[in-house]
This record gives sequence, C-alpha cells and structure tokens, in this order.
Amino acid sequence: MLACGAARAGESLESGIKATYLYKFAPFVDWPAGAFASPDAPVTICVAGSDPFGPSLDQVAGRERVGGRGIAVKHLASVGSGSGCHIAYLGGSAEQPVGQSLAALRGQPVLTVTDGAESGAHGIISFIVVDGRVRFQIDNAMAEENHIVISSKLLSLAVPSRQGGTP
Amino acid sequence: MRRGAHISIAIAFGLAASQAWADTPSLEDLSRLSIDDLANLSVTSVSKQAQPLSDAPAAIFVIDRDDIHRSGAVTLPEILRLAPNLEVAQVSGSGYAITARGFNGTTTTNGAGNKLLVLIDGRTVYTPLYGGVFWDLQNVLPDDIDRIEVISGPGAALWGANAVNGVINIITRNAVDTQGLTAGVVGGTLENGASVQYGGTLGPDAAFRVYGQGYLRGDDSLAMAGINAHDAWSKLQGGFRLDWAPSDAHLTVQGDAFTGREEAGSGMPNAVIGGHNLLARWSQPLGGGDLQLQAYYDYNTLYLPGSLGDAMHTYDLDLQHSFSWGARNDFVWGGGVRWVHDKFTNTDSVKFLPPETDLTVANAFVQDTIALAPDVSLIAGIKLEDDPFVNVEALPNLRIAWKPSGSSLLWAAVSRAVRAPTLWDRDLNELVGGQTILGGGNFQSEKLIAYEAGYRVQPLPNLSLSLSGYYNVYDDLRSFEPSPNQNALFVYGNKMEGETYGAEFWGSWQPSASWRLSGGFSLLHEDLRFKPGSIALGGLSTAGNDPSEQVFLRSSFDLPHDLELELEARYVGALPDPHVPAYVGLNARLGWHMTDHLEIALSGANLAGSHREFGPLPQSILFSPSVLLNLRWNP
Repeated sequence: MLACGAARAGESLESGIKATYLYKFAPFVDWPAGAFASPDAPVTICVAGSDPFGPSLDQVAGRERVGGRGIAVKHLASVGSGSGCHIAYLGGSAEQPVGQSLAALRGQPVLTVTDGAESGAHGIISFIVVDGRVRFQIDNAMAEENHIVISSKLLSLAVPSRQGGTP
Repeated sequence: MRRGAHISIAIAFGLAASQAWADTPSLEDLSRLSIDDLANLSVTSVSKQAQPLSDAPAAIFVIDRDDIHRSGAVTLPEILRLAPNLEVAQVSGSGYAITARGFNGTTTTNGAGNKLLVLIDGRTVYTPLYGGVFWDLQNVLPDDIDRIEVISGPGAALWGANAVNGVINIITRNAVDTQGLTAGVVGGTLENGASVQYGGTLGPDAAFRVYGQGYLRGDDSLAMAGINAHDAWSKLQGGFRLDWAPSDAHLTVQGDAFTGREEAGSGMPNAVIGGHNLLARWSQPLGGGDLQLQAYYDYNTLYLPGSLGDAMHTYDLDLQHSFSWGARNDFVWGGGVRWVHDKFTNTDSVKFLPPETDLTVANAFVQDTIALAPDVSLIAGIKLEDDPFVNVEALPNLRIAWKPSGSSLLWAAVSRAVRAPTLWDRDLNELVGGQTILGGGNFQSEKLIAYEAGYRVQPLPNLSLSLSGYYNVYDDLRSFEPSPNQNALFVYGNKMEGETYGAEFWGSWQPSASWRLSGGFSLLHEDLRFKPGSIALGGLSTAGNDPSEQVFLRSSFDLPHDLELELEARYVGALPDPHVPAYVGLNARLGWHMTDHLEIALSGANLAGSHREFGPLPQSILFSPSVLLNLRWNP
C-alpha cells in the first residue's frame, strides 16, 4: 500500500541522484589515450534515448571540472562510435533500444551507464535501487572491453552484482 | 521478546526512512554531495507533493545518520538525547537513566527505569536482572548506525513485555554500505578514543566489516563537595558484520566482544565489565510474503572484585512471517523463545536467591493491517507471552490511521502492555547485619492500558510537524509491602497504581537548503497513588523520577568551505524526588570536511554550565563543560 506511494513520490529525487552520479563518476574513470581530442577537451556526457534529466543537468554539470577538463552534456536520439561521448547514459527508445546502443558502443572508449530496471541489457555501470538508496553495479569485464579503467574507490562503492537473474 | 529489526516496523507501520531535506533537493544541492553521500541518500521518503514523513500510527521519532553525524556524539546515550520523546539523564560517567513517558531510574537510584525495551539489530539489550539497560555495556560505532527508531508508547503486541513505555530500535548499516578503511580519533577534556574499521567484499554476493574501538572517559566531580567523583571508565570493543545476499534471500551474521573497567567510587577497586554476542538473521521471500528467522547468543558480565558480580547468558530464537491476504489484509505472525541463565555472586548485603537460575520466555503473536478504505487502515494485533514467574499474558493492541489528505495523518491507538517480574523483583534479598530487610515475595506483572492519539502534518513542503498525546492507566505498580512471613521485613508487592498523561511534539523546518531548524517538547503529568492497605514505604518516588516538561531546539547549518555547524539546546524541567533543579544543556559542533578523505570536528558539551541530571544530592555527579576534537579519515 505505502510502497507504491513512496516509489512515485521519490522518482524526482531518484532521477536527480542518477543525473548527479553521471558527472560524479568522471574523476574515478580513466579513459585511454586518444579518447580526448585535446588536453582541455571537455568530458562529454551523452544522454541517449529516454531522457529523465532534462536541461538542468547541462547547467549544473557545466559548472563542474574534472582533472582540468570541463563537462559538456549532449542529448541524442541515438549513439554510435562517432557521437563523441565519454560517458553515455542509455535511456533506450523505440529508435534505438538499450541493447542496440550497447552494441554500437562496444569496444569504444565510452563509459556506458544504464538503469537496472531494464533487465538483461546493462552497461558498464547500471543503477539499482537498494534499500531505498540509488546504488550502482559495475561490470568490470565490459569496462575492459571498452578500454576503460575504473578506480578501486568507485569499485568499492558499487553493490556486488548478482550472477545471473535480474538485478 | 523482539521482532525483526527494520522489517517489522516497515511492514507493521509502513514506515519510510527519515531524510535530510524536507523538500526534494535540487541538482545544485546534490552537486555539493560527495559520491559516498549520494550513495546513502534515501529516496523512499522525500516527496514533492508534501507526503507525510511516515504513515506509522504511533509516536515514532527516527534519528537518522545525518542527525548522528552532526551531533558529534560518540556514545549511544548521547545520541539518544536527539529524540524529543525520551528522557535522558546522565547519572555518572558510565550510567544513564533513560525512559519514555515517565518512570525513570537506575539500579543505584530507585531501581526503576524498567519500562523501556531497547534492541540493537534485533538483539534485546535490556537486562532481565532488573529490566533496565546497562548503557556502558552497549556501544555501536556512530558511523555504523543506519537509523534509530524511537517509539514512545507501548509496543507490546509486536515487541513483548518490557515494551511498556517505549521501544528503541537501533539498526546498523548493511556491510555493503560500510566498505573501505575508516579510522577515527577523538580527544578532549573528558573523553578520548580511537576506532578503526575495514569493510570488504567476499565474492559477488557478500560483504563484511570488522571494527575495533577503544574509549576512555575521565572523572567528573561530585556536585555537593566538588571533589573527584571517581566515575572514570574505559572500554575496548571489537566486532564484525557479514551480509550475504545470494538471490532474494539475505543472511546477516554479526558479533561483538568487549571488555572494560569502571571506577566504582573513592577507595574501591575498579569494576570489571565484559561480554560478547553473536547473531544470525536469515530472511527470504515465502509464499508471496517475507520470512525471517533470527537466533542470537549474548553474554554479559559485571563484577566488583571482592563484592558482587553477575554473569548472564542469553539464547534467543525468533521467527516471523509477513504476507498479504486478499486486497485488504497484510498479516504478520510469528513467535520466539528465549532462555536466560544468570549467575549472581552474592555478598553479605545483596543476595539473589537462588544465585544461579534459569528463565524461559516464550511468545507468539499475530497482527493484521486492514485497509478499511483507501485512506483508512486498522491494525489489530495480539501477543501471548509466557514470562518467568507469572502466567501467560495477553497483550492486545488496536490502532487506526486516517489520512485526510496527502500531507496529514491522524492516528489513535489503545493497547495493553505488561512489565513482567525480573530477578530483581523476585529473587533480590537485601540484608543489614545478617537481617533480611527485603526479600522473597510474590511480585506480579505491572500492567498498563494505554490510550494514545496523534497528528502528523506537512503544511509546507519544507515544514513537518508531529503531535501525540497519551493517557496511560497503570495498575499493580511495584511497591514495598510488609513480608507475609518471618523470612524478611519487606517484600516487593504490587500496591501502587495511577494514571499518567502527556503530550509530545516535534517539528522540522528547512528555510533554505543550508539551514534546518528542528525542535520539540514533551509534557508529562503523573498521578500515582498507593492502593488501600499499602504501607507506602519510600513514597511514590520509588516508581521513578521525571521532569514535567522538556524542550528541545536544534539548528543545523551548512556553511561555505565545507563547514557544518550544529547547535543543540535543551531545557529539562526539575525532577521532583530526589530533587534535581531544572537545567539548560547546550551542545555544539563545528565540522570541516577538509578533503574527501579527512574530516575534522570540534564539539562541546554542557556549554551552558555545569549541572546535575539525576540522583540525590550527596551522590549526584556534576557534569561540566567539555570539548572534544574528532578526526575521521577514510583513504
């Protein structure tokens, strides 16, 4: 009875937390050489498909700096190797479902982020709500495929992922 | 008997965890948090549409992690001062008298303070020796506490005997949430300590933490003479917690061990305290609901060399199952059994007869939450408990909750609760010169019928208020009566009765993202009397010593440059008998998040001046202003 109400009420905070995670992840991730066009090229966060964050993410993230780089946010309908993303949140859409977005970015130096609600297809980082808190699971094998190195601090914050079954 | 920790409250009352903001934080607010803080932000309770903080039909105050962190408190009793529905009185360096809704006391003052149930992760920590809590035996690292649910009012249908005036449910964090290395050092004019904790994972589904801590508190002075009170004490404690969640199930195993020394007054040898506990809890989905099984072992010992001592072993097993039935009913049922083995070391003047004894408590309960209408729910529950020394008691309770709007809740409840006899009530013998002054007797359970109601409202998105009132009718309260035989002069009887009534109010206002103001008050009126035929020995103060009013105010600031400032003020009314004057307490803390890995805080306690809090003047200890520096490092 109460659980439904709580889930509805907390949605906006949940999206806010996920949006904040997107740029807070950046200091804990190492991209391969060549991922950035120049030493002061910004870290680009792409929001692909269904967008729960809106334009306020651009404003707030735009004020942050990561290792001397600024942060830029792009809202795209679909992503691929040419999209210029360093971090990609894959919301999925009819045009490009999450699975296809992931396939398009496999092997690319992109930190893929998905929502745990989408069973099966998950990115390097997938959000999961545990005990009423927004947490995340990290797939280090996928990170290696994309030549991304994730710091042990972020790995230690991640929730241990379950083997098999839905998150 | 206990019930499952946080699951029981959540299922029984649909409680949502407390939160740091009254309205939804903006992306700007969130940008100021560290990634660790983001991971700990609860999403289940903040509402943009002004939902109430909680739908629980009870007077429940939740102390959350943010409250604990900003207060700078390092021991449990000091953390409990944050709850406006508790009376917290410091008796000595290591002793506290804590209760809800009256009847406060300790073994060394009036033998009262026995109407509060306290649990740490489902492990009962009130002692069957006298029904109160030895607060020096229990500690949890403040960083490891997820929240503390403080319920004033009887929780007997769920929690059993001793949950007469209130229940304190201390819940620690899942090991998954306490990863990495954390080290802390505190030092100051009165307290010193250090703690270290490490958390890691064991494979994909399991996480653990291990910790060790040491604590040392110096002497206070006696109020009357200004001389050393010799109440210093020290303690070493260590423990672990393991959480394993293979699929839908969850296993928690946790344990602690501690040893300590306490000064027992001038010229006396130090008292020795020690103990260890081990608890395992298994939960899994079952038949559309949830099943939880818990077992624990707890051992405590207190010993005054050459004098009295006590060693107590507790073995406890509990089961609970919750499930829905149809569209309107949510059931919880379960039961448990506890076996206690106590061994007391008698002296010439204090004896427990027999000195070695076994007690068994068993209980079964069922509770149904019925959705009478979309905005009205009724909770009916009953527990049957078989306590030592007395027959099976029935502890029913009925609660109703009505949500007239999305942002307000009205609730009312009537319950029966019982305080079962303890070893102190039945087996204690006090002798003077070989003559038994007090001993034996056929003390029965104290009884309570409680009528309560409350109103909770969120009139503005950043303002929440909670008001509750109660009328308690007590019967068979403990009194001294002449002994019916030649074995002693007096025995404990049940010839006191009376009514208490009062109100509790608290509120929280967040005028800006960086300033929160919270406050509250509690009022209590006690109307106790001896029954006809009682010799009224000792007077009504043998039942407890309580202030008629308490007022609390707390201001929390987030300042620029990663600073936080906390100011806590409280006014505690005078205690009637033994008389303790009213006092104002003021605590403050200035914290600085120097880096993502290092935090420094300076806190001060009793800054408004020295004062006594409990006990007759000759023994009363004076608590003076003190400061504490706290360093916390997590690489």
